[in-house]
Amino acid sequence: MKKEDLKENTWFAGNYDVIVVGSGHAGVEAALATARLGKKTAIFAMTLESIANLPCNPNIGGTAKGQLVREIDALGGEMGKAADEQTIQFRMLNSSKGPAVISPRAQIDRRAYQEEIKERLEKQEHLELKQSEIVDLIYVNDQEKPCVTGVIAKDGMHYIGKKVIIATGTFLESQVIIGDAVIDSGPDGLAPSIGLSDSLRELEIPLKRFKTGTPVRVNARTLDFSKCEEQGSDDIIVPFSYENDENPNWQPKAEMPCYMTWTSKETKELFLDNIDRSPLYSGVIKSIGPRYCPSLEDKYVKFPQHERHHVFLEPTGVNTLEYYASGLSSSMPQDVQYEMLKTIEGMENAEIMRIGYAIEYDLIDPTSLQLSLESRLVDNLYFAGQINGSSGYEEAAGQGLIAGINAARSLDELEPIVLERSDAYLGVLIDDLVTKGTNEPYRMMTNRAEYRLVLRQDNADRRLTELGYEIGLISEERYQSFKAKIRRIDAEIKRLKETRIPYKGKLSEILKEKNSAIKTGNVSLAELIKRPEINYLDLAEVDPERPELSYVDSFNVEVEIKYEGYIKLEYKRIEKFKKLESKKIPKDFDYLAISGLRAEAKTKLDQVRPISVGQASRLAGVSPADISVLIVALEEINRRN
Amino acid sequence: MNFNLEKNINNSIQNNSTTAATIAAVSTPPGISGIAVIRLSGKQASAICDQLFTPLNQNFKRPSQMQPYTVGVGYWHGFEKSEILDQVVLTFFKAPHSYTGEDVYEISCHGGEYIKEAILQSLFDAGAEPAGPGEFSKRAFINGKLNLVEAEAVMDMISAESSRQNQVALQQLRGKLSDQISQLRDDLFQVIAQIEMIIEFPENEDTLEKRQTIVTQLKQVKLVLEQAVSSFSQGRIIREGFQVVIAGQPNVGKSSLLNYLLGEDKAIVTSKAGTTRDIVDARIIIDGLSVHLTDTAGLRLTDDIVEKEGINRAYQALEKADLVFYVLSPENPETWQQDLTEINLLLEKDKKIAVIAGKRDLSEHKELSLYIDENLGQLDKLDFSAFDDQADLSIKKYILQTFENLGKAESDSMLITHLRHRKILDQTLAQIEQAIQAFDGQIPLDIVSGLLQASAEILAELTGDEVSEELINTIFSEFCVGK
Repeated sequence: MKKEDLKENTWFAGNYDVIVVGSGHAGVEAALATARLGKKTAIFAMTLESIANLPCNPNIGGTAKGQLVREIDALGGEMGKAADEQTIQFRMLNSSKGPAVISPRAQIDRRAYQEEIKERLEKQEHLELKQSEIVDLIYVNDQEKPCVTGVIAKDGMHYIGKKVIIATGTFLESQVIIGDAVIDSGPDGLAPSIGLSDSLRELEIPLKRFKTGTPVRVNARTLDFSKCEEQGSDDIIVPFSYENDENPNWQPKAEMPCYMTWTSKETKELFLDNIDRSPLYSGVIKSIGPRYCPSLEDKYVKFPQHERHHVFLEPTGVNTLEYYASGLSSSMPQDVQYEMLKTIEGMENAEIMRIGYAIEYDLIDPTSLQLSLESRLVDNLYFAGQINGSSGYEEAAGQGLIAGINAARSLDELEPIVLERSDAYLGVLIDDLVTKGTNEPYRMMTNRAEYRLVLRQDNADRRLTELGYEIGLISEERYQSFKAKIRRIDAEIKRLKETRIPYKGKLSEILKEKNSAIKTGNVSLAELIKRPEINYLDLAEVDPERPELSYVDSFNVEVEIKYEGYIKLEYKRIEKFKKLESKKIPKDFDYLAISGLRAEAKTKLDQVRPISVGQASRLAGVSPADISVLIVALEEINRRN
Repeated sequence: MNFNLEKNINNSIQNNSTTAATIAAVSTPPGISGIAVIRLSGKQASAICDQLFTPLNQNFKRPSQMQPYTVGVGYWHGFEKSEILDQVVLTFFKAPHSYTGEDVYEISCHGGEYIKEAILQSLFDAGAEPAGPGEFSKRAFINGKLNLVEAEAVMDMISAESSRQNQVALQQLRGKLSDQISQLRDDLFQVIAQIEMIIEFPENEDTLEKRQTIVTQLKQVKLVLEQAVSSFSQGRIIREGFQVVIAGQPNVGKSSLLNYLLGEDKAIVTSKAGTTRDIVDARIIIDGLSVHLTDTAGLRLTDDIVEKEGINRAYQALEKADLVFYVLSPENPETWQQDLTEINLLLEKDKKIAVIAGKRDLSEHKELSLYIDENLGQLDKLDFSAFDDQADLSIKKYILQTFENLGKAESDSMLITHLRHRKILDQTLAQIEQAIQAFDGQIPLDIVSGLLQASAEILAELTGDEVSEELINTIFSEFCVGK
């Protein structure tokens, strides 16, 4: 509501530099960042019991998401550190598929994680944690565009904030759908957030509606694990945070296995027989769900050639028997979900604790944002997390961190941090959302990153710690230890290139065993590592001078040597890419005057006002021919000036 | 509402024009000619012309009063009406219907160097700025008069000298090459998608069967690329002309061979002297194929500095030759041995050589013929006599045949004519070969996918689907000042 319409009787409850609305993964990172950068911050949770909730899967990390967590950690975010404290199972995914796509993933003790985060918020200086539902925004409208100045809570109190970050996740006007039952509810039976959507509409921020979903939770007492395949942690367990990586005493708090089973022919029959009762196909759900995280009914319809699908049974904590049934995400009616379990080996007698459901929620069109995550339409208003159309805890946390950093920097009159697509998955994520927009919940995947061979989980600190330090979220102590580590790694790479050993004795034994060529004379350790069949660790026995490195560091050394040629190639591509990224477009550039641009491109460019030719080239509706025209036009202007 | 919008757009167009300078340059080639055309483009064009042009009589109007697409006749003055420089014809093209999309005046003046210079200077004095190379075309481009993918082909058509050149350029203009490249990229993306499916979804296992399908598809892409690359020799020849270099000892009849070949085609021959008197270039058209003939200095050891330079140039010309006519004369058997050495050197450089046994009318010709058969039996041999009417025909037929044999490009397959295209295809091919190797050699899938991604990106540069400044600059650099 407009500031002048604020009723006399609304009680003024406080004055802040930054107000964060929502305390999920995005809100948490945003609030911690602004508070740590010295800004007086208030973070609002609808209930303090639901902070940093993991209402969908009980794990953090995974393909491309593991990279995101490491990037968040390298910039000084919290997710990795908190996850490390509550890890109950760990796997390095995709280890056979290559260095770029190898991703860490940890099962998390869900309740303990929430406690963990809540405590970290409570202990944070400059940060006030408040239970209150925010239902409206206060703004003034005397400038070119509206400017947010505070928020109003459901209980009538209002708070003044110089910057407001909205991180409401999937709660806005949310509805849970199970079969033909439609319930006004947020995830996990929590209350939906009603009112804020109208407030955003009043500010003319375009809203959309997405759908996502989650599978049943079952009681382990009623599962027959003997019929399932057990999947324990990897032999080597790697923490997310680079801080813990340096700490020899770090270890996961517990080790709980996951179990794998399969859906059966009967499951498929059951679903296909009842497909007309699925709200997805009966028309109850009209919004768009994620292609990359499909419900089971979706899988049967879209991949009819697959007879069966994986089901992973994942523990959700040390003190609970509740298991998450990954792969069974569904919004089928309850009776079908109950029948479903009877058709799955090991789950025949499973007792459902929480039924699977689909959830619909309001989000903003992320193309209404700037790359800083501040709205283009409203001043001082930032958005982060699922409200921007993303899906996943890690994607949310990353946006929260960047929104927090940029809100704080804006208060200090500093330029916003905008990561390039070649810098980080975080850069890809935000650029994709803001520049291209999304028509479904956006899940990070490695192939969204054009330069993923450079954006690896093992070098996130090398890519971003320096920046985190400049921003002010990485301590001097950590920065120094980071620099020492980089020196260690570089020295080790150099040593491996320079150390030559003869093809004799133990080495020839190792090579024979690995089916690797044995020649005469000497060979450098680096050349050996370059062979696909030989690993850094394989050579430990013939390399007594090797220094002690952490697992991540030795992995980093190995990748840098083994794939040196390919990495160089990737850097060349990046160099080419950066040429267009570094071609900045003046803020007041008159696109409408360039008659060589197609009408659609003109409108789009004028509306979005991309910061660089590179960003312009990624806009939907702007063709390569338009970009060529733009380049020549900019060049002519520059030349004439 | 609509009306306002329109007005706003019109305003901004005018604003844009004021920021861009009015530019001028001579648009006809340098050198003295009957008439020359000076082009002036930009918002200030009419104001500038008004200062410098006086209509001949009341039949003609001041430039700013002229109807678009009409001509005016009048006197052209120096700046501030200092002196009359020339009597000129002025043509007015109104924005946006002009080459650049801006107001354009074309001044047709007399073609002397002094007049051109003086008129240009008067324009600069009155506020115009010198146009850079290709700047008119760049403005045409910015104003939507010309698109980039076409620009390259347009340049080719302007400079086309033979029907084959024109045909290929026309095909490219119609987007045939673009279509073929897009198809190739689609095929690549298909392969990438399959690999990504395996990477991203654990349900899609990495089976041997899948790998074989992928390799088969990759090899198919590679094959198409290789064909395209090999078509370049023919494609480039169509674009640049088939280079035939006539070499041999001094006085063996090289020049008479050249003159002989030129004789029949005088009407369509353009012949110009080379940089030294020792090299003569000429162009003839044989059955629509542009053939570039070069007569070189006799190859022999010499101390004469001028002749030495001539011989150097002969070797340079031989470097570029698509076909070498090596002429031997029956009159000097003492040099035959040296001829063998020269020919072998050329053969080492993979040159296509035909031996011309010259002066067939002489009685010693038989011995020469025998010598060639014995020592150079593997090469094509052509007999030639300047007094034989038919020799000319058979030699021309031979040139044409040699060209046709170069690349067996089928009419539907890709034909590459530009070195730029060739370079891109070479790079793409290298990437794909690397990817196939990596795929065979236990290199992880994400790396293979990256290599293919890189090759698709390179390929996209050919058609301009991947925009790079280099591409734009390269294309416009082919345009000269005044274009």
